[in-house]
Amino acid sequence: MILITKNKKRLASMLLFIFLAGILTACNTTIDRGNQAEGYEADTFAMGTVISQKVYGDNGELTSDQVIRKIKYLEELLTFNAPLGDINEINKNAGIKDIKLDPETIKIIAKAQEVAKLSAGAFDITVGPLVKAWGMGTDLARIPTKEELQKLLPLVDYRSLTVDKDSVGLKKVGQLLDLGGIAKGYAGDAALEIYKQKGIESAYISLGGNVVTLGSKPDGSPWKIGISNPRPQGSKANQLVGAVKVTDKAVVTAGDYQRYFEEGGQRYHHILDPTTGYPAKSDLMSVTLVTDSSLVADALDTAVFILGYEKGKELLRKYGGVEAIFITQDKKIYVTDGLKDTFEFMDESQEFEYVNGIITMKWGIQFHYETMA
Amino acid sequence: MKPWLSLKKGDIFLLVIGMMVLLPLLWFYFNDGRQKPSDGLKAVITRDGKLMAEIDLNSVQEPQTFEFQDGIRVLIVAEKGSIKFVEADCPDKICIKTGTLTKPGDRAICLPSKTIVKVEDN
Repeated sequence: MILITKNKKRLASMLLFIFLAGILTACNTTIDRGNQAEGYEADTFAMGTVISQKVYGDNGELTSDQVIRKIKYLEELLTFNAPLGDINEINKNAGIKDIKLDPETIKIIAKAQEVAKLSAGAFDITVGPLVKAWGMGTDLARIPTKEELQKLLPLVDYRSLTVDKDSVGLKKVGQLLDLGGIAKGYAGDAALEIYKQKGIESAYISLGGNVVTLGSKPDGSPWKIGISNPRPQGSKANQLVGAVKVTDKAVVTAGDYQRYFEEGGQRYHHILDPTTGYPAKSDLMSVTLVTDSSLVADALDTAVFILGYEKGKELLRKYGGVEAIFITQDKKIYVTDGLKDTFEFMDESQEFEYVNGIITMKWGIQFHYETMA
Repeated sequence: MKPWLSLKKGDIFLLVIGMMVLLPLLWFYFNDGRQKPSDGLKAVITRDGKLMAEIDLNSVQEPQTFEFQDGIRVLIVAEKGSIKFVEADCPDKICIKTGTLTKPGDRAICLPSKTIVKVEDN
């Protein structure tokens, strides 16, 4: 009798052990599953940045190669300095004649014009003469004189850019189109199109400040896109103020920290205000837009950055279907209603204040708080 | 009368061991894997797509330097658990300004020399 009870206890201990071991393996399998579905990763230098792709599925490598070929083609077509491209062709013929163009180029220019009109020229692709004068994005960046800029400003005017069904033209001699603000945005949309054509269901591509996601991650969870701290402290790389969880969305950021040069202790960033000719004096450090098209997001975020927080918010409301994360110069973070559940505020620097929304605690506990506007 | 569950020394020992195994796992699980055990940190250096070096960052004892001279010169230093660009013969020094890479997913890029340093899980 005694012997049996003893055995029973041993049995209980063994069961406990098996139970624990079970939990252990369960944990391991969930971790493994992530590793099993490893996608094809590729980093490529193009469009003046690094294009990073992560493509899941059988055709990952082939598809990502095709995307790169497409992006290199677009680079030739759309870049300011590409001698054989469509943009160069328009610029050479400014004030002379309209040019018949690739339907793809027309599509991009038409979209740019739509945002230009809606933002009353805050976003303007005829900003080319200013970009050239500042040498933005080249090794020869410099501060132009006031007189120089005054002479160039009349050439910056989206209203003298005519877009027809199959042709585009600039009215004044000396005008220059610059699609630098949206070429990467369009490339993101083009990549997405190729992924879909090839039957890919899960992919991620980043082009500079533009991230485009297809579907969710292979395990069904959303992609988590980090939002950079525009004023990182110390020497640690990749400092974030938070992250946004997205599925099937483009996440595009414009900020004064992405590309700039310093002279005489002053910072000159790359987002030029078409009305002043100088880097935009915005009350924003950065704005991140979340929407379906990265082309739309890329055009709008430049406009929003130049217009500033209040007017920018108004522009987005007019356009519709775009969510945003605003980081203001006084280090406050605002998000639009559609992101309140998916934006996670995690500011390691503890310098920023999350003004409206939901704070997610470490253990998944959420609490809401409001600050008076 | 016996209590419904009478525990012997061995049983308690097992329970304690069980808890010791389980608690860190739960901790790991609830932290979303963000505080991954850092015993698998690897740095990968590529130049124009070609793999130049793979460094197990946790086994680095003395600071280790990597210098690439062909084309635009860059100097990269790996230390225990971190890696960074220290010198680059390019105009903007964005790669150096990027700072110290310490966690998986961190990366620094020198565009002119097409050099990428990435930190990954091993």
